[in-house]
Amino acid sequence: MKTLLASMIIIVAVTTAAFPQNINWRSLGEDQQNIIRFNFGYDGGVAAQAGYYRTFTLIRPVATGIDVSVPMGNNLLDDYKVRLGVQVELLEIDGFSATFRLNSAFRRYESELVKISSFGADYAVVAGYYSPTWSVGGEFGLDKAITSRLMHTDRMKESFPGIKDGWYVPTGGHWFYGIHGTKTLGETLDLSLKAGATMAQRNDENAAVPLYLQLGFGVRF
Amino acid sequence: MKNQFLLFLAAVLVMTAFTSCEILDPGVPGQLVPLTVDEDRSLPSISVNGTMLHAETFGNPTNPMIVVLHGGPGGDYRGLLNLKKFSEDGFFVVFYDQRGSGLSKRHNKATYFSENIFIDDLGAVIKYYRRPGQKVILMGHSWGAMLATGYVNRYPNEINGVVMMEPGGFKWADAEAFIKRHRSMNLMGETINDYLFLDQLITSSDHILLDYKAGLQNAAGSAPGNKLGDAGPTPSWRSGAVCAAASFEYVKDHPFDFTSNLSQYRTKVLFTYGELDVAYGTAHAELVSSAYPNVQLVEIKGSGHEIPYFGMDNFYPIAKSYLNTIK
Repeated sequence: MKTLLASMIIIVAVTTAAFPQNINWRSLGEDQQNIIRFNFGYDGGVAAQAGYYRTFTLIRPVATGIDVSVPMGNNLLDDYKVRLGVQVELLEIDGFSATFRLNSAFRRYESELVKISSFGADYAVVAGYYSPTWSVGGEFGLDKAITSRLMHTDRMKESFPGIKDGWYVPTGGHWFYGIHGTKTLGETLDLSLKAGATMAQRNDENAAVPLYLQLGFGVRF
Repeated sequence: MKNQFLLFLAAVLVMTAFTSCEILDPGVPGQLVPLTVDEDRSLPSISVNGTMLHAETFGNPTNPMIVVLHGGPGGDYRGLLNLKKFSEDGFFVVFYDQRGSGLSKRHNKATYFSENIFIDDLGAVIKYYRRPGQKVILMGHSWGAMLATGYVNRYPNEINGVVMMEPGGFKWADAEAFIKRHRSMNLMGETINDYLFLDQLITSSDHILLDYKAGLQNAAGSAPGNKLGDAGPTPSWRSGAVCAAASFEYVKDHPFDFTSNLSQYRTKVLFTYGELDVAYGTAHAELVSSAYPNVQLVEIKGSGHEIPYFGMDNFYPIAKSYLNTIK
C-alpha cells in the first residue's frame, strides 16, 4: 500500500507541470509563442534562474515550460531546483485576469552530511490587471516538498550510526503570497519584479528568511 | 507523441527507483536523530527539576566537583568530552545535556521562555551530585560559560571556582554583538545558501525533524572558513532546535543581565578565549570579563571558539593550574 501511494505521489509530482513565472498574456503578440526568461533574487537562498516557456491556446491561453534555479555558492551545481509546469488563464474581463499555475519541482541538495533529492509541487492562483505594456497583480499558493530521499554521508553515519537512509514522506511545505509586476520594453523584451512572503504549512516553524524577491528579464519571440 | 512517451518513461524510471526503497515516516523516533533519554532508558540520565537529563560522570565522586556546561542553548556535551581528563587530576567531572538539548528530554516551546529554567536545572544537578562540604567548580563553554555566570550571579557563595571558554556576553547586548559578528556571512557564499536552501526541503513542528534540520544547518555554519576560527564542526549527538529557537525568541523581549550581583564574587575566575576567533577578539574578552572583580584572562593560542575540542592541548595546562589552586 505504501509503495502504491508513493508511486502515485511521484507520478503526480513528475507529470504535473507548471512554472513559476507569471505570464502577461496581453503582451504576447500573435507570432510570439516562445519566452526565455532570466531571473535573479532571493528564493530560499540567493539564486539565479533561467527558463523557457511555450504558449498556445486550448480554449483558454495556456503556457508550459521549464526553469532551472541555482543558489549561489562555491559549488554551483550541488544544489539546484528544476520545475516543469503549466499555467492556464481561467478568465479575463477588461484586462483583469485570473490564472491557475501548477508546478512539479525537483530539488537537489548536497552538503558534507547528506545528499537530498526531493520531488514536490507548487500550486498558485495569480490575478491582476494586464495591459499590453505592463501588468500588476498578486499570487497565492502552496509549495510542497512531497517526498525526499535522504542519503547520508560516512561522516554523518560516524556521528549517528543508526541514521536511516531512504525516502521520507512528507518533508515540508510553505504557503507563499506576494505581488508581481511586469513592464514591456519595445516589442520583445520584458522586465519583471516579484516579491512576497512565505509561511510554513500547519504549525511548522517558518523559514529563517520567510521572504522572496525576484528581478527578471525576458525575451518574447 | 514522442514527448509524451519520454515523459511517461521518465515517470516509470523514477517510480521503479522509488519503489525499490522503503518509505519512511520522518516522525518516527530514532531514524534521523538519536533517541533521547526518555525514549531510550539505557542511556545514562538523572531525573531532576521535573525533567530527565542525559548525564554522566568521571572520577571519584568525593573529589572536588567540576560541572561542565555546554554551549547553545541547544548544544550538547559530546564535543566537550576532552574535559573528562581533569578526572585524572583529582576532580569529579560531571557532564549533562541541558534541558531540551542533546539527548536530554524535550519539552514544549513555552518551557524555555525563561533564563531561570536553565539556572534552576543547574542547581538541581549540583544538588544531585554534591556531597556535604564538596567544592564545586563550574566549567562552561560559550553559552555554558554565560549560564555559569548566571548561576554565580544568583548564588555567589555556592561556587568555589569558575572556568570560562568564550562566553558570548553576560549582558544580552554584548552577547548579541558577538553573535552578529560571527554570523555575518557572504550572501553569495556556499555556507549561507546551504543553510537557507534546507528550509525549502524540511519544515516541521516536531522535535525530530527540527533537530535534524538544525544539525544540518549548524554543520553548514561550521564549515571551513568560518569566522569563529574553528577547523570544522565538533562532534555532537543532537541539536535542541526548539530550545535554541525559544531561547533566542525569549531574550529579545527579556534581555538578561548576569552581572547585577557579580561584584560579590571575589574568587578568582579563569576566563579564556581563542586566538583564532576573529569574531571574539581581545577587546571583547576584556569587555565581558571585566564584570568579574578577580579575573585571570588568557588567550588560548592556536584555537578558535571550540576551545575544548580544537584547543585542548593549550587549554589543559592553564586550566589545570587554575583548578589546582582551588583543590
